[in-house]
Amino acid sequence: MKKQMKRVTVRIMLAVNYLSLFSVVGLFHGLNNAEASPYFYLWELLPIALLIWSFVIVFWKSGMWNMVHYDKKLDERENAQVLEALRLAYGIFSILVLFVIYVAAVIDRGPITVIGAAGLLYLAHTLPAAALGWKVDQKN
Amino acid sequence: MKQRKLYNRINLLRQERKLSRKELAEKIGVNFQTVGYLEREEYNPSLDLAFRISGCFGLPIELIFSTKPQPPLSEELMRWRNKEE
Repeated sequence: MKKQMKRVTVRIMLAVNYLSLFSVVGLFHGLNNAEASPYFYLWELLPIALLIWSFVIVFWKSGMWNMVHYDKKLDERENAQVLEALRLAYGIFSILVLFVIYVAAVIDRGPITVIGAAGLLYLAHTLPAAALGWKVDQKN
Repeated sequence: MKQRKLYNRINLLRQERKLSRKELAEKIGVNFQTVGYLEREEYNPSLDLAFRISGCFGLPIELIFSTKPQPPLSEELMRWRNKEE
């Protein structure tokens, strides 16, 4: 990883990242349901900014994104950690998607919105790196 | 199946040879953090990596790794010598 972060810092930044993601999606749905004026959608900029900021710090600068997506120079321990993170992430993601489908069916709202789908896409891409950061303590 | 913990003497052997973690890591082809994990016995190496470590130190694999906590090296050498006699 490029920049070593303490596990507690990584966990806090991950919490900030996913809370801001849920805020973006939740706020959008809330405003959509309330048929609010388009100006109220400007409030979305705040959690979006927080989401981008925390993404850059926790996924990009830490190198976790590269480790899970592109890095071909991993050794056997790192490969084992990435595989474990992928297993965990896809387990969580499957349950989450089934839960979203179930809730959508129960409240009879039909297919999910564009923002909801974008949120799920973001989760699918970041969950493996998040699982890695959550579990692994970067020690020398 | 739960893996058994492997004990090792990598830290001792590395310090004896005055190697930094980075230097050892380059010799055995892993990230330097992995050497730290191995020394703290928080990661069990594959057989291939164990052989590379053994080759790097020029010692038999059973002298470096064990499934039981290892006695001091001097004690072990005495035992080996007595066995030979």
